[in-house]
Amino acid sequence: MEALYLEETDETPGIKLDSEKNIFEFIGKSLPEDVATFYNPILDWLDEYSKNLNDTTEVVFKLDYFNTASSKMILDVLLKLEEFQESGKAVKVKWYYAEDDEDMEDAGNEYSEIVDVPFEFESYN
Amino acid sequence: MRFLKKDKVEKEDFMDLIFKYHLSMEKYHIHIIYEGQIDETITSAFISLAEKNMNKQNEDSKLIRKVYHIMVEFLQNIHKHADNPDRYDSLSNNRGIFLMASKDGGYVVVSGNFVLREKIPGLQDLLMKVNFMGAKEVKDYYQRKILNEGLSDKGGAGLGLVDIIRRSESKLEYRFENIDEKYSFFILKTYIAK
Repeated sequence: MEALYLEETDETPGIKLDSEKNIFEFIGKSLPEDVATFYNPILDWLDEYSKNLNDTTEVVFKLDYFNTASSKMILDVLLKLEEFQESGKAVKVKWYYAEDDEDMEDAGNEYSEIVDVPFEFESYN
Repeated sequence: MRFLKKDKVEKEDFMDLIFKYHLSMEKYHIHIIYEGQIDETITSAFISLAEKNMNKQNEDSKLIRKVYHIMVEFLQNIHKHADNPDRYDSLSNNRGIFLMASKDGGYVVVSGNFVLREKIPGLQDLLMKVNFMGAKEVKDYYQRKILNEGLSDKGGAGLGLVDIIRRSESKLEYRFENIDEKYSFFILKTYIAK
């Protein structure tokens, strides 16, 4: 299926969703005013991908900032991953956070409490 | 001649005003003050300006991040929730006033925007509710909200105020100034300690 690549901007994260290369990444900042317009195509892509899942799907979140409206959309993305797992395929979330960014680490922890998929945490400088 | 005279008075008024304004900016250690339309461009510009200023002052990265998060939520609150009296043209939609200043080693963020008076009771209830929550309750409320509720018709998650409290770890101060029978001016303030 066709990959979805979106360049990182000041308001939106860089997106790489590529089932052939098995790359799934959300990197940067997410504070668009209109979160639905930005995230709906991503959710649609994930729906399409769910029809033909890779054996393992490892999704990287390396965000340095997201606003509250995005937090809801990120949860929606994670809930899709939960569905993938329920269908019998392996799913893992790699949650990166800046070493001194406890809030981002906490945010990952909170998501991992809500969503039933394995999270791996990694800090960076 | 009368024209000229009037012109002169106005010029002096504005120069006077600018100087007074400048003195106030210094007195209150104001980094940013703006009144007008709030959109993504303005929000981006203000947060990067604030980030740059705070970096120059060698602020702790945690404090910078908190101020950054809180500024975004304040600015997006105005963008999403300001009601605009009919006397303003459409160019003035999503209008508000925004201020960010240094105070006692931390930062103050204040906003002001019009709201329909009919919305005040709901807003007051929400503000009182979130102001009285402890850290654990705020976290639970946040989780419940993102799990059980969709985005509002304005595209918000209804979490802005909760997020501000969560990050600032201080109570929100607020005031409603009556403008006319339909509108009030809603002023919201938070303090982010070092």
